Amino acid sequence: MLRTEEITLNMGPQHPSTHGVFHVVLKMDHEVITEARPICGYLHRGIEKLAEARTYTQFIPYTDRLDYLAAMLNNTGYVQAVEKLMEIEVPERAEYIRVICCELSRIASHLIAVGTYSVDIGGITGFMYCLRDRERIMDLFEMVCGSRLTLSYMRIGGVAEDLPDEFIPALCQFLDEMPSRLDEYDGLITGNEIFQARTKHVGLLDPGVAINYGISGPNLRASGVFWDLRKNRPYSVYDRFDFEVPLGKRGDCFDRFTCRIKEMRQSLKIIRQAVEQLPEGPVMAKVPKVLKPPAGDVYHEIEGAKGILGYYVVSDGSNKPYRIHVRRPSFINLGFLNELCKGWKIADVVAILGSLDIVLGEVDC
Amino acid sequence: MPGSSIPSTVIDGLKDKFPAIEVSENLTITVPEAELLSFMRELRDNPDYDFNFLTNLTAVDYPDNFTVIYNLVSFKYGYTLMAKVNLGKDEPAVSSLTSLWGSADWQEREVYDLFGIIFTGRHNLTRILLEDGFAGYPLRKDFQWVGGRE
Amino acid sequence: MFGQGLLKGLQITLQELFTKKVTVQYPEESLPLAPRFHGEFVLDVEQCIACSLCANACPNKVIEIETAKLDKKRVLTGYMMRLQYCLFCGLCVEACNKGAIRFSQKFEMAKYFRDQIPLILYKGEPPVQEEQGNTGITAGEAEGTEV
Repeated sequence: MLRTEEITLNMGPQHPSTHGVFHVVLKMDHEVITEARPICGYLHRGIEKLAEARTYTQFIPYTDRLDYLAAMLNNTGYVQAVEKLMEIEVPERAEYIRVICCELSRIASHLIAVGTYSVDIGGITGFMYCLRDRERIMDLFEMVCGSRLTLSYMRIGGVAEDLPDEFIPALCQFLDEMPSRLDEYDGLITGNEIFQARTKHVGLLDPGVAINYGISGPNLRASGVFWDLRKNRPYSVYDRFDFEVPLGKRGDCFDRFTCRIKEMRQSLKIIRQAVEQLPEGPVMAKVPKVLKPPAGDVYHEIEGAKGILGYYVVSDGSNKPYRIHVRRPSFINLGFLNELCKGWKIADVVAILGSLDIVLGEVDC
Repeated sequence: MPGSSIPSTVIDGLKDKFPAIEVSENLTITVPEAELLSFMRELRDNPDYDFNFLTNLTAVDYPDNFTVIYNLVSFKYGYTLMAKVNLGKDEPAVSSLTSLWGSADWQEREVYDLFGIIFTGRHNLTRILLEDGFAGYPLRKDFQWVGGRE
Repeated sequence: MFGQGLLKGLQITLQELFTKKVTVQYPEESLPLAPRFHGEFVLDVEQCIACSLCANACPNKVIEIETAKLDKKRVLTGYMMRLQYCLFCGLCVEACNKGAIRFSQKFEMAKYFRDQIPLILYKGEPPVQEEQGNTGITAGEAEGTEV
């Protein structure tokens, strides 16, 4: 029997595959992980505290900076929470625009997830292809709201501006071209044998454990749990669209990856239906200039790109929120990293971490 | 807007089992601290409710008390439930729910980190977002920060 | 057969070799920007009534407006944006009733020194402003946009 000695290895804070500033202290027995202690907070800006010094509208730009890869979804979750608190009816057209933008945001986020995962595994080419198509979405967002990443497009009661005339044709062109692009990713990344060898049967996530640990989004669905708030608890106008919820079977890294590619196809389907159904009308409800929600609290959840995105808003009747808490899916998904890495080899840590698709802006808040 | 979406029969059943709980108009349930763990265990383990998913755990610093908020979801029935526990201002402490739901682990650490609320009956209650030597609890209303601009 | 997936990938990358080049030689050429692009701010001094709505709408206290009282009228004597704190969210542009503060298409805002970052959109002497005020500001001032 060989004498073994525990090795401690620091992965990060500066490490390309941690997708931000994130630190994992790995304890290993030879190559096998015995403990992976995540240390986060390097990007903590105290956004929840900042919210208390700002008005309800002024907080919208800060929500962009949580999950900055899917800013539309963050905006939407927040404004819907405040609308729920104030009982504001949003015009139909605004709801449809929100759905279009949210699903575009979801695709953009999944493209980054798919692309960076390819890099994590060692295939840099896939990343370039994903970024190429994400660029198209950024251009579409630029048309709509002038920004590319931190969009601040949603407003309490609707959206900031109506869609410009050139948007719908550009979007339709994107919708036509995107499915063949997704086939390219399948050919480049999903079908690659080396990629499959690195990800299949690695980092298995049991559905029961996943639910217990609050894991949500594609990570949970990859384990075969049907839980998508767009279907299970439809908000906005999601009940009017016909789409499927892709599920995985084994709950390994490969399933989590393919779930995202499949979800992009479903998002394209939703956008296409939303464009067809897009009604005319105002894009902003009649809301007072100074927003003073009645005293009380509200918790609202939407299906974000990374999982269930929840906003808890407490109002004391003034024009500033008393407290805002964000249920950040990345943060809660990451909480399971230690359990997920245990027993796997050191090379699998990157594969497992990448498959969880975290964004450190959201983890650290 | 309702805090929970559960049928009133379920609420009545809960009230019979736990007479000390208070149900507000919008179906938010306030639980006394002493009964929290048994109440939550009932919610999780009773097949009539089956709240298997602790989605959100946070706290608010009100002028008179701290309130810890729990948002539960039942995948089986689609119920949601908001439960609250009120804690005193001095040395707030509440039972940990990590034995019931794994997702409580990091969220409790976050609440401890930012509010200084102690969760009893769990290990590794350390700061998670701020550095270990940080003084004070930033999300408390009386927190004064130094630095910043102007 | 092992390796088929790899060959498929190579085929896709090879196809890409024959597609149109998309690289733009940036400083010489540049891509068209959307009309709504959030670039550097421009202020239409003639239109500005120094009502401070933009400064109040800003989430991060970027805008500093200096005003002077002349003949019971508030006139603009200074408009400065601390762009180092700006989120480019557009809430100030949205708040302006007069359309005085707008985004431009200019995005090259990098500076060599930090003290050059604040964007001074107007710095005027009150007497000069008085003339401008009498010509440029008429109805808007009387309507009173006090908030």
